[in-house]
Amino acid sequence: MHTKWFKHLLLLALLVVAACGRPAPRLTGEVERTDEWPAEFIEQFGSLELQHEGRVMPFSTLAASTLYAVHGRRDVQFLTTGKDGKDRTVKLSPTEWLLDVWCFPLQAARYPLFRIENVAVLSALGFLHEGQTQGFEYLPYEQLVASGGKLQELHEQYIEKHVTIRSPVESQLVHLYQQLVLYHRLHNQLATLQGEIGLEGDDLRAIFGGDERVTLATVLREAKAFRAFVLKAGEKFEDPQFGNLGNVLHFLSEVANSTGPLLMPPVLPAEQKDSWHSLPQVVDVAIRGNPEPAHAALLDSLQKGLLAKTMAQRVEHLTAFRRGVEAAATARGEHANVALESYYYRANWHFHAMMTFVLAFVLAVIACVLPRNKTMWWAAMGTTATALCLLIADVWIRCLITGHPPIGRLYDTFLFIGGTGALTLLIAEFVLSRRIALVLAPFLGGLMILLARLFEVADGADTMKPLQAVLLSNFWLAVHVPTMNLGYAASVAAALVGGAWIVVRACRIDHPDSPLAKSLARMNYGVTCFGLATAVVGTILGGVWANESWGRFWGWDPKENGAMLICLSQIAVLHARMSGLVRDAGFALWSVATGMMVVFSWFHTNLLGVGLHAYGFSSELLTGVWASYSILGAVMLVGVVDRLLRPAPAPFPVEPSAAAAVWPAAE
Amino acid sequence: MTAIPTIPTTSPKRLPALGAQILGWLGSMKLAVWLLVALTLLTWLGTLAQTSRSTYDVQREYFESWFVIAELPLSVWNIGWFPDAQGVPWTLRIPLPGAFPVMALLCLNLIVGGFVRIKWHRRNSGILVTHGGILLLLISGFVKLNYSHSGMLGVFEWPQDGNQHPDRLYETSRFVNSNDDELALLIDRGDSIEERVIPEQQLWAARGDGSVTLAAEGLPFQVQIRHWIDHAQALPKGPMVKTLKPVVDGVFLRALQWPQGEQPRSEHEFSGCYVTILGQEQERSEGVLLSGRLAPFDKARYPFTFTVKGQRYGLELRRVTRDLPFSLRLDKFQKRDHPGTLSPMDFRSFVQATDSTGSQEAQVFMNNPLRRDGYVVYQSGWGPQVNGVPRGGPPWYSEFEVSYNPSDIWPMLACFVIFAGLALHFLMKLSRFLKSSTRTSLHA
Repeated sequence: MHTKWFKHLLLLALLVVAACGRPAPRLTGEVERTDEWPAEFIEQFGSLELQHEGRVMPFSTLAASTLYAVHGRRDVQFLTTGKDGKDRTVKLSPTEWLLDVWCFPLQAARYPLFRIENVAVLSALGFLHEGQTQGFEYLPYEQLVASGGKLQELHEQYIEKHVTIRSPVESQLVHLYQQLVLYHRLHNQLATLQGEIGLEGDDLRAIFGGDERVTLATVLREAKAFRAFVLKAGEKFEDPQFGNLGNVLHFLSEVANSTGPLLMPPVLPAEQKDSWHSLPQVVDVAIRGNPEPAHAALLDSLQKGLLAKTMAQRVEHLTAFRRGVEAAATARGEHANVALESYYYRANWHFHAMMTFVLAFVLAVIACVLPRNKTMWWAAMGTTATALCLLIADVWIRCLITGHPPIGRLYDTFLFIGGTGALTLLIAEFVLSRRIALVLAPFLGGLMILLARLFEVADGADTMKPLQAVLLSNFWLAVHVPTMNLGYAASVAAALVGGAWIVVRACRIDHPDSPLAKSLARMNYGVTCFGLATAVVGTILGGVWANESWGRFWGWDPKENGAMLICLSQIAVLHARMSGLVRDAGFALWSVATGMMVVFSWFHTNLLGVGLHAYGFSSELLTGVWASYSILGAVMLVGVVDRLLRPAPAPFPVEPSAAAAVWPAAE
Repeated sequence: MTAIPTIPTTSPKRLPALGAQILGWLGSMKLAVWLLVALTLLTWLGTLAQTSRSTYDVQREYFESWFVIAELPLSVWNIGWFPDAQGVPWTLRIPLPGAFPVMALLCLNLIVGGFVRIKWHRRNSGILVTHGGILLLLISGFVKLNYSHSGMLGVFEWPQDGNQHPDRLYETSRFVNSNDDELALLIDRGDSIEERVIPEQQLWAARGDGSVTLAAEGLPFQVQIRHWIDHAQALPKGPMVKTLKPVVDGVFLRALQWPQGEQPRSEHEFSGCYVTILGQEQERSEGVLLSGRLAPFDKARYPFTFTVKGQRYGLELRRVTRDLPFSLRLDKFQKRDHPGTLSPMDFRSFVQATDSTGSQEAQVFMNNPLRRDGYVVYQSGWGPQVNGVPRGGPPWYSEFEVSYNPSDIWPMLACFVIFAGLALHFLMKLSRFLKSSTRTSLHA
C-alpha cells in the first residue's frame, strides 16, 4: 500500500527534474577570454571588500545579487565552440561573470543574459521572433542596449501606472529596463580604466616622464604636477602650447559616468569616515590637489589587472589590488565581517541543510513503509536533527554578520520558519510518534529552504541589506518578530498536519477513527495551541512596538490585520472544537484554512501595495502566493468533498482480533 | 364595552429559566465561534478594502461601525472577473454587522462565558487568566477609542543666529488632528479674533443634494452649507472643463480622485463645501471652503471673509487642533544615512519641552518617544525632502506624531497576562496528556 505512493512520488520528482532542464543558448562572436579563471583566484577575489547599498560586503555577494537581479539564475550558461572545434557548455559562477563584465566587457556584453519570458516583450521592442515557445529567450546586453531608447520610452510610460494594475507584459518591460540600467552601470563602471589617451605637446608629456599615452592611474600618480599644469593653463587650455590638455580633461571628466559599488576604502578610521570612495571621488580629490597615494596605488593595480595581456598577469595585478583593499579594510576593522560573509556563502550551510532534509525525508518515508523498524525512525530523526543544526548554524552566522537578531528581512523568515516549523513537528513526533510528523518535519524544513533560495534569486537583492531606521531596534527585533514568526511556523506545521489528516482519510490510508488519524488530530490540536500562544503574544507585542514607534497600538494596517486573522481563526477553531461544532475533520480543514491566512499575512499583505509593511511588489512572489492558495484550497476541496460524499468510510478489512485492538469503540 | 388590556404574564419559574437561557446563549462557545468568524471575515474584507480606500475610511466603515456593506472585488491571480469597461472587476457586496456590535457581543460573551459560567476550578485557571488578559485588551481598546486623541506637530530648527522667518513655526504647543475637520466662524473683534467652532460631523447632512443651515447666536446672518464632499479638491473652471457643481470665483469643487491602484492617504484628503451667507446687506454671498492640513510650519491663515453690517467675519474649514500642556521646540535635527547611500539609518530631534514648571531637554527618534504629562511625542518625519532625499534645507524641520492615550501601556500588561494564561493552560493540558493513558493508546 505504501510503496504505491512512493512510486508516484518518485515519478513526480523525475518529471519535475525533467521540466527544470533547459538548453543553453549559444554565445555569438569571438571569445576574448580563452583561459579559464583559476579556481583559487576566483575564491580569493570573491572576498574582495567593497561598499554597496550601505554596507561593506564581499565581491562575490555583489556579483551574486546582481546576477540574480539581471539574469534570474544562479549561473550564466552558454554554448560556445571549443579549441577543438566542438561545442562545449560554459558555466560561469557569479564572481567569474562579474570579472568578465569588468575585464572583458565586449565578451560579457554578448552573454545571453536578459531573460524574456513573453514574446510580446520582444514585439514591443521591435525584435523579430518565432512566436511563444515553452523555453525563454535570452538577450545579450549588446542587443538589448541597441533598443534602449525604445525600452526607456516604454518604461517611462508604464512606470506611471501603479504596480498592482500593470499587465504582465508591462511589468516585464519595466523590470527589463531596470535590469538593463543595473547592468549598464556595472558595464560602464570601470570603462575609463580600460582606456588610455595619447598626449600631444612636450610640456604635457614631460609631466608623465615623456610618455606618449597615459591612463587614468598614471594621471592620478602625477596628480600634483598635472594640477599645477592645469592651473598654469587656466582658461587657455586649448592653446597649442598646452598640447591636447583639453582632450585629457575631457577624458578625466568621463570618469564621472562611473557609478556603482564603492571600491576605494578611505584611509581614515571607520569612526571618522564610514563611506567608501567612488572612482569619481578619488579622481576629484586628486585633481583638486589632495591625491591619496594609497588610492593611486590601488587604482594602478586595478588598471593593470584590467589591461593585462595574459591571464597570469591579470591574476597577479588583481590579487595585488585585492590585497591592498584588504589591508585598508583590516585597518578600518571591516575585514573580519567580510571574511565571515565570504565564508558563509562558500560554506553554504543552508544548502547542505536542505540536502540533509531531503535525505531525512527519504529516510522518514522508508520508516513509514517499515513501521516496525525502530532503526529507521532513529535514522530519520537523527538526520532531521542534523539538518536542523546546519540550518541553525547558517542563521547564527547571518546574525553575526548583520549584527541583528535572526529575522530582519523577508528572506530570513523562510529560514526561521523552516527551522522552527521542523523543530515543532519533531517535538510533536517525540510526543506522539506515529511517523507522520517525522515525514512532515524534513519536508517543511527542506521546502522552506528551497523557497528561500528561489526567493533570493527572484528578488535579486542583497539578503543582508541594512535595515530601515524603524527596524533598528534589536530588542523589538529579537522579541516581536521571532515570536510572530514562531506563530507562523506552528500554524504552517498545523496546516501540514491537517492536510496529512485529510490525505489519510481521502486516500484511505487509514480510517478516521484509527490511532494514526486520532494521533494526527491530537497533534494538530497541540500544534495549533502552540501556534495560538505564540501568534497572540507576537501580535500584541507588535502592537506594543507600533505604539512605541508610531504612536498607536493598532492601526488596522494589512500586516497587523493578517496577524490578527491567524489569531482569530485559531481561537475560533479551538472554541469550535470545545463546543462540538467541529470534530477531527472540521479541525483539519480549519487548520488548512488557517494555513491560507498565514500565506495572506506572511506575503500577500506585503503585495497589496498599501500600509506600513508594503516592502515592494514582486510578481514572482504573487505567483507563489496564489500557487499556495491553490494547493491549500485543493487540499480543502478534497477534504470537503470526501467528507460530504463519504461521511464515514468503512474501515479496511482487518483481522477481527487486530480490529479490536485498532478501532476504538464508536462514540 | 371596552376590552381590558391584558398584560402578558410570566410564571415566576419561567423568568429565571428564560434569563438562564439568554445567559446561556450569551455565554455560549458557539456564539463565540460565530462572532469570531464574523470578525475574521470583517478583518479580511477590511484589509482588502484598503487597496482602494484610505485606511482611515476603512477603519471608520468596517471597524468603527454598526453595519457595513463589505465589498469583495472578484480577482484571482491579479486577474479580475467580469470586468467593466475600465477593467475594474465585478464586486461582490456582502452585508455584515460592523465591528461595534460584534466586539460588544464578543465582550459580553467573554464576560458571561469566560468568567460567569465557566467553572472556577484549578484546571481552568489558565483560561481564566487568558480571558482576563483579553478583557483588559478590549477595555484598553475601548478607552483608546473614546478617551484618546492624536495628531501631528511640526517645527523648524531653532535658528542659532536668532533670525526667525516670520511665517515659520519654531516652537508650539498646538498639534493638528490628521483626519478630522471643523468649521470655524471667525469674528473680527478688532484687537482679537473670536472663534466659534462646530465639528464636521454636523455638516455631513450637506452631502450630495442636502444642505445644512447654521445660525450663530446674536449674529445677523445664517450660513448655508451645500455640496459637502469628504475628500474634495478645488479646480479652476476652464473653458474645456465641464462640471455640474457651482462655480464660484472661477473655482469649483469635485471629489478627489487618486490614481488607479494607489491607496488614498487620509492625511492628504480634505473636505470641502460651498457656503452661502443668508442675511441682509452682505457684501459677498457665496464661497467655496476647502479644508487643508494647517501646515504646522506655516502661521498664515486663509479664511473666506465677508462683511455684514460693517462687521468683518471669516469662515475657515480646517483640521481640528488641540493644545499640549507644554510647548515643544526643535533645537537641532540630525540625520545619518547608511554609508554611501541616501537611505536614513537614523534621524533624531533634539527638542526642548517647556511648561510653567521648567524645561526638559530630550532626544526623540525612532523607538524612543518623549513622554511627558500623559502625552507621547514620536519622531514621525522630517524635511524638506523629496522621496527621502534632502531638498531645500537647512533649516530642517521635524514632524512629530503626538498622542494622548490613558490606556497607553495596558496592552503590554495584557500581553503578559495572556501569555501567562495560555502558557499555564497549554502546559497543564500537555502535562495531563503526557501522563494520561490516551497518549499510550495513540503511541505506535
